[in-house]
Amino acid sequence: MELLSPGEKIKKLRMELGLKQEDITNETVSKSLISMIEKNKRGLTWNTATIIAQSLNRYYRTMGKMITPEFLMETEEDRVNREVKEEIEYLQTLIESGHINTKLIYMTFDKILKLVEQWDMKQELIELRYLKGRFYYKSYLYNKALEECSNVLEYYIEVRDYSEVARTYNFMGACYYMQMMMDQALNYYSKAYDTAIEHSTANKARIKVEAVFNIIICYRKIHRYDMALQFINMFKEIEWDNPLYEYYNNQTIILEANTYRDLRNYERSEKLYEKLMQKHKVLDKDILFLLYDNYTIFYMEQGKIQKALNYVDKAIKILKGVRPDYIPWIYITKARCLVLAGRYDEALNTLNEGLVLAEDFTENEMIIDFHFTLSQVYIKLNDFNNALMHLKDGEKIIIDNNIKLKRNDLYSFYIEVYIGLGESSKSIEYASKIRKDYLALKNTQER
Amino acid sequence: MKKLKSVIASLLICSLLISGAGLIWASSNGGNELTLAMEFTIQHEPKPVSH
Repeated sequence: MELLSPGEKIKKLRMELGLKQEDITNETVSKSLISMIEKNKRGLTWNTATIIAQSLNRYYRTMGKMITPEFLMETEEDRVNREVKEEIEYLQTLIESGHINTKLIYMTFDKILKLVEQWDMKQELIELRYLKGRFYYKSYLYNKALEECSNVLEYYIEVRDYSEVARTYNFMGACYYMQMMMDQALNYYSKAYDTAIEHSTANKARIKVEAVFNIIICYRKIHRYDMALQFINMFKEIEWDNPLYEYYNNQTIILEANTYRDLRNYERSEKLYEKLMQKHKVLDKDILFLLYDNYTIFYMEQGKIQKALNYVDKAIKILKGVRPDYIPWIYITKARCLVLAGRYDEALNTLNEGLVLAEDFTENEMIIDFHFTLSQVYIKLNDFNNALMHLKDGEKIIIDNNIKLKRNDLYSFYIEVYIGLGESSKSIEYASKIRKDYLALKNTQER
Repeated sequence: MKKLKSVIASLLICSLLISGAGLIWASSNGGNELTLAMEFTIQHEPKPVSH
């Protein structure tokens, strides 16, 4: 990025067209004045800038270009500010669009960072760090995202910008959620909500909606359906006059329907799914996809396999344009349908197909789910060696990322597989990992 | 207004008293962390939102 003073800018524009100083003069702006401005010996007034712009435009207009007095008068600092702002906005659009070109983004980050540090632009540096956190989040690098966020948070607390504090807390909650650390996620979402309320921040309504919505997802994840329903009611009471509310509200209807489905209140659950089905023509594609997927599960759980397969097909029909990280799920749903229909080989093929897609996303939970589902199908087929292989793959991710939530599932699968393989001592080893050692035998033996 | 964290805490205690199940205070980490009993199901649900 080239930084020029107003005088240097005029000189550059003039020289580009091979003009002499006298070519851009008139009765009020003399050649000597232009010379002094170009050498930075005289400041540029609005009137002079207007006249010089008009003179330059006599030539530039023929090239389809317009020079404005604002552009000429802009100081170096103004220009850096403007360009940094533009670059940050550009980066933001790029990152949020989901079509991430990593190389381009890193290059743009480096370019702006240099400028921001050179000009000691603190606020912009923090905005940039937050954006880098968003970029890491979208790239599934949640620890790196949290690292950026903790610096950002420290700054906003120091300058008492509570809107940003609340926004950062909510984002950090999402990072913890994606790492399946639900205690921390709930803690940060609550902090976001409380900060917005306590300081009555400008973004209060949005933070309330986002934090409560995220808390519902958390409680659903840890199967606290009572708490999920409490927060769904809380969500319904929030007022937010923004088109985004409708988008979140439709998703909350799915969450509510799923909660009643999981509580086996199928009548209430169906009413909610139907409420959304009635507006399927105007629903966002991601939401419609989720609806079909969950409607499939609804029918599956009641043993209505044909209806379930109809809905899974509907979801597959609209795959194009759905969020890429949602897509692998439908392969698990379809495989479950096929297992229920006794079509095991087709189920295995579907799961292996989905696993390849899931591995593109390095999203731990999804990959573990694929390995466990595959393992369960192999157990059903008494193919314990293949089942074991998938458990080991799942275990690696669980250990590398310290995912407590999936540990008991893993141990329970191991018990089943080792029994199948006739290795009872290993089964016992995993059984003891699930519970406490009441006789403290391990300690006694060690002594 | 009551803080959300205290609302959550009281809701959790209420539901614990009612259901008497599901919630375990982990003894391994000094009781600081809340660990919740889980069963295995796969959820296909919306992802968290942030901006």
